[in-house]
Amino acid sequence: MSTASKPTFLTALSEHYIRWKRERSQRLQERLYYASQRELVWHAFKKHRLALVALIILTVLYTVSIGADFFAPFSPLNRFQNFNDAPPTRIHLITREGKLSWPFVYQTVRVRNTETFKYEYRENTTHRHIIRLLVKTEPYKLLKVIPIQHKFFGLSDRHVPLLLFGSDRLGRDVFSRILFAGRISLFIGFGGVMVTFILGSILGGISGYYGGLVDEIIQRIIEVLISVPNIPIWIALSAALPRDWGTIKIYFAITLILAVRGWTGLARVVRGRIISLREEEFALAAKAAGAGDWRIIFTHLLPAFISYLIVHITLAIPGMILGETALSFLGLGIKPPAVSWGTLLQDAQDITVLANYPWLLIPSLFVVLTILMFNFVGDGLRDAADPYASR
Amino acid sequence: MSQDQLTPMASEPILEIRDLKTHFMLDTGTVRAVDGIDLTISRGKTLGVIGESGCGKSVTAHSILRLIPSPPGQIVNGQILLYRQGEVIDITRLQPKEATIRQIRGADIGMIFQEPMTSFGPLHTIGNQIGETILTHQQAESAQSAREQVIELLRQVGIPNPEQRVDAYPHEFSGGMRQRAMIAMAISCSPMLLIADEPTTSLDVTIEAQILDLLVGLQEQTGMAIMLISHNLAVVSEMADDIAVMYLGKRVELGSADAIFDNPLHPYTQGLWRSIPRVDGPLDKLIPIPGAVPSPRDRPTGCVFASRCNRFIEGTCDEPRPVPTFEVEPDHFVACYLYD
Amino acid sequence: MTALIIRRIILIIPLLFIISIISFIIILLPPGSYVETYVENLERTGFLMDESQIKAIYKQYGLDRPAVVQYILWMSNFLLKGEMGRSFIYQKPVTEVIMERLPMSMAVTLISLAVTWLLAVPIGIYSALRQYSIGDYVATIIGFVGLALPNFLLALALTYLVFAKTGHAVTGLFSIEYKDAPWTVDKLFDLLGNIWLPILVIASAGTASLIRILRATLLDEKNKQYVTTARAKGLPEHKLILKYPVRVAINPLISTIGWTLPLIVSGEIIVSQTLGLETLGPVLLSAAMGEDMFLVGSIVMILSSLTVIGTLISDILLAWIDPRIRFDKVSI
Repeated sequence: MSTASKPTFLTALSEHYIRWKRERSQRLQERLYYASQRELVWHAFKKHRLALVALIILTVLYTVSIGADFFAPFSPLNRFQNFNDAPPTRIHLITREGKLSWPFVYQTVRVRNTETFKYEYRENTTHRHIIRLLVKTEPYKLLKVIPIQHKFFGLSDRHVPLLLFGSDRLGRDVFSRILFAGRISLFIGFGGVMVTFILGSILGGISGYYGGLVDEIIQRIIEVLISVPNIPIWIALSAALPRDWGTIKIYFAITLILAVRGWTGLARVVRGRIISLREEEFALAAKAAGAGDWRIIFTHLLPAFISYLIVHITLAIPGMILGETALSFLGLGIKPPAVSWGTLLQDAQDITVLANYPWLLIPSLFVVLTILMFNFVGDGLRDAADPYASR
Repeated sequence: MSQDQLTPMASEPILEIRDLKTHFMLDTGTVRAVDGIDLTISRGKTLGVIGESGCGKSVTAHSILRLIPSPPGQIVNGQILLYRQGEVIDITRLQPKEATIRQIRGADIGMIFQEPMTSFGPLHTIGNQIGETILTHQQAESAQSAREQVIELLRQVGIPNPEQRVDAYPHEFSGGMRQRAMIAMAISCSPMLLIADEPTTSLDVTIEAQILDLLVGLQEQTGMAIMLISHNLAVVSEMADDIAVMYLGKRVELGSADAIFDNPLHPYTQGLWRSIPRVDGPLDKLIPIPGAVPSPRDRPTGCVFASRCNRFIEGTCDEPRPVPTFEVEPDHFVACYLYD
Repeated sequence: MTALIIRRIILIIPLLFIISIISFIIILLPPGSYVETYVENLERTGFLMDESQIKAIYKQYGLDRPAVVQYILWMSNFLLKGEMGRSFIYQKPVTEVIMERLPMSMAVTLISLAVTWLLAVPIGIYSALRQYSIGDYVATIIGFVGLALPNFLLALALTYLVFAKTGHAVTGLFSIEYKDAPWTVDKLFDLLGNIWLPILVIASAGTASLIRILRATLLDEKNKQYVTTARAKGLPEHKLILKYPVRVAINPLISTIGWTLPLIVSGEIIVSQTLGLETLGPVLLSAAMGEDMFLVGSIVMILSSLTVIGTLISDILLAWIDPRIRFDKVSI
C-alpha cells in the first residue's frame, strides 16, 4: 500500500475502513450471541447514559485524588501566612483594558477595615498572575515514586495564593485539601466493601450451604446487626480505639468498624441465592463428581451470581463513605493532621464560622456528588445485570 | 334505531356498538386492538363473543365500561349506545371519570372478570366490597340493609353460610367461590346487562359448569342480557343466543348460535370448528388452524385472516382495504369475499 | 393473633440478649480497666478518688473477676435495680444520666418517624398517580438528593440558610431563656419553634427511600385487577384509589419501620450533635470521647433495645391491619 499513489491509497483506506466497520458490527452481533455474562452486562450498562456519565465523573474524582500531589496546587498542610479564612480567589478572564485573556488572578492583600476592625481581602490589581497548566515547582515524587517537578496548574509565583475554594482557619488551601482528603474518603469505601464482601460471602455462604444450627446462629446475629442503629455502634467502637494509634491503624480500624454491619445485607443475599442454587443440578453434579464443599461454593455457586454481588457492592460503597464522613465529622474517625472530607467539614460545625466562611462547606458538595454518582452507577449496573428484568 | 321501529324478528336492543375502534398508542407504534366492530345486544338475550386470545374481545368489553387505561389506550372511533329507560347514551362520548359513566358501571352494566383470584382487594371483607356497590348506587340504603342484601345475594349465587362468609376475606375463598362472589357483586344492582369476560377460564371444569349454570339461572330470574366473552366454543355454545366471531380486532362473522354452528361461513369460524372435538363429529378429524395470530402491530392490510386462510384468493383478499360485510342469510353476516 | 404476638415476643428475647452482650463487649473493649481510666480521668480533672468508692464499684461490678461474671453482675444490676454503672464524666449513676435525656430522645425519634410518614405517603401517592408529571420528577430528584445528602450536612446547610435569612441560629431545642425553666405554654411554643428544623432533617433520611418504595409498589398495585373491578363497580376514582391500591401499598411500608427506625435513631444522634439538641446523642458522643464506657455501652444497649422493640411493635401493627397476615395465610 505504501507504493500506491495518493488517491488510490485514500480509496483503499476508506474501503478498508468500511469493511472494518461492517466486520466490526458483525462481530459485535455475533459477540452478543455468544457473549459472556460480563460482556452482556457491559453492553447494557453502556446504554444507561446517566450511569455512564456518573462512572466518568467518579473516574475523574478518583484520578485527581490519587494524583493529588500533581493535581492539587499546594500541599494539604501548606499555610499561607496572613491568609486565614480567606474567601475563594476570583478568577478573571477580562483585563482592565477590556481584553479577553487566559484566566488570571490578582494578588490578594489583607487589610484591616478601620470601622469594623475586621480583616478584609482585596485585590491588588496592579499585577496580573496568569494561571498556567503544568507549572514548574520544587521537585517532588508523584505517588512517592515518580520524580516530577510540575503541578497540573498554578501560578508561576508560588507565593501568590491561588485559593479556588478559599482557605481555612490556618490559611490552608481548601481545594488542595479536598483532593488529598479524597484519598481517604474515596478509598475507605473500597476497604470497607472488601471486608464486607469477604465476610458477607463467607458467612452467607456457610449459612446457606450448611443450614442447621450454624445458619440459625448467623441469622440471629444478622438480625440483631440489622435492627440495631448504625451510628451508636460506630461511635462506641471508635471510642474504644486506643488514642495512640497512628493514622494508618485508625484508618484500617475505621474500615473494619464500617464493615461490622455492612456484611449482613450481602450475607443474606448470598445465603438466599445459595439455598436456591444448592438444589440446582450443577451443584449436585459437582458434588456427585466428588468436589469438596468449599470448592462447590467458590467455583460453582459464587460465580453464578457474581454480577449480583457487584451491584450490591456498588450500592454499599456510598454508605461506607457517608459513615466515614459522619464519624470524622463527629471527631471519632480520621484525626488531624490526616485529612478526610469529614475532618474538613469539622471546621464548618460552628454556625458562626459557617455564616462567615461558607466556603468551608464546599467539601460537602464532593461528598454528595460522590454518593449520587455511586447511586447512579449502581442503578445502571442493577438494570444491566438483569437484562431480562422489565423495570 | 328507536323502540317503535321494533320488528317481531329483532328484539329490543339495549346496547349497540357501531364501528368501534380502540387503539393503543405505544412507543413502539399503534396497536389497533379493536378495529371497527359492530355488535348488538338485545334485552334478556345472551351474545357470545369468541375468538383466540389477543383478538380484541376483552378490549371491546373494557371499552363498553370505559375501563381502557388511557394513556396508552384510546377509543378513536365509533359509538357505544346504551338504551336506558327511554334515553340513549353514547358511552364513547363520556369522560372516563365523570358521574354518568360511574352510574352506568355497576348499576346498568355489571362486569365479571377473568381472574377471580385477584379481582377482590385483599384487605377488605367480601361483604364490604359487594356492599360498596349497593351503597354507591343506592344512596338511600343504610349499611345494615346493604349487608342484608349482600347476604341474600351470596345465598343467591350459592355460597353456603352466607351470614358468616359475608365477613370473610378474599384469601379465605376458593377460586370458584370468589367467582361466585364476583357474580354476586356484578348483579347486586340488578343490571340490564352483565358482561362476563372469560368468567370460567381460570376455573376447573366442574366449577366451570356450576358457574355457567348459575349464570343461566340468574338470567332466567332477572331477565338481564349477558355478553359472554370466551375463547372456549363449548362455553359459548351452551349459553349464547347469538354469536360474534372476532379475529384480530375485526368481527368476521355474526349470527344466531344455531346458524353459526350449523352453517359456519367464514374460513376462520370453520377452522375453529374443525379444531375442536364435536359430539356429532368424527374424533380423528381435528385440524388446527395453521400459523398463529399475527401481532396486531403488523396486521395484514387486506383481510386480517389472509395469512392463515386456506381459501385465500390472490388479488382479492390481499387488497389493502377493509373487507365488506355480506348478509348471506337473514341475520347472518360474514366479512369474507367468498360470499361476495 | 394472640399467638402471633406471643411468638414475636419470644423471638425478640434472643435478640435483646445478643444486644446486651454486644453492649457489654463495648464496655470491656478499651485497653485498661474501667477503674484505671476512671481514676486517671478524675485525677486529671483534679478530683481524688475515694478509696472506699473505688472498692464499692469493684465489688458491685466484680471488676477483678472474669468477664462472664462481670456481664452477669452488670445485667442483674440492671434488671433487678435498674443500675448500669457510674459515669465519671457526669459524676452520676448511668441510669440517671440516661433518664434525663431519654424522654426527649424518644420524643424526637417518634415525631421524626411520624413526619417521615406524613411527608412520604402523600408525596409517594402523588408521584405514582401522576407518573411522569413535573411533580413526580421533582419528587424523584428530591428523593435522590435526599438519599445522597447525609443528614448532618443537611442540618448544616439548613441552619446556615435559616441563619442567613433570619439571623436566628437554631441551636438546641429551647432558647436560652427557657432552657432550665419549668414547663409552661410559652416553653412549649418555644420548643415548637425550634424543633421543626431538626425533625425535618432527621425525617429526610427515611423519607426519600420511603417515597421510592411507596411509588414503586403503588405503580404496581394500581394496575391490578382488583382496581379495575372496583372501577367497574362505579366507585369514584379518588375513593377507590385510596381504599384499594393505596391501602395495599402502605402495608409493606409498615414493615420498613424495621429499618427506618434504626436510621432515624442514628440520624437523631448525629443531628442532635450538630444542632446541639438536648437528647442522648451528644451525651453518647461526649461519653465516647471521654471513654466513659459504662455510659457508652448502656446508651448503646438502651437505644438498640428500644429500636428492636419499636420494630416489634410495627410488626404487630402490620399483622393487626393486614388480614392476610392476621389469619396467618400468607407469610411476608
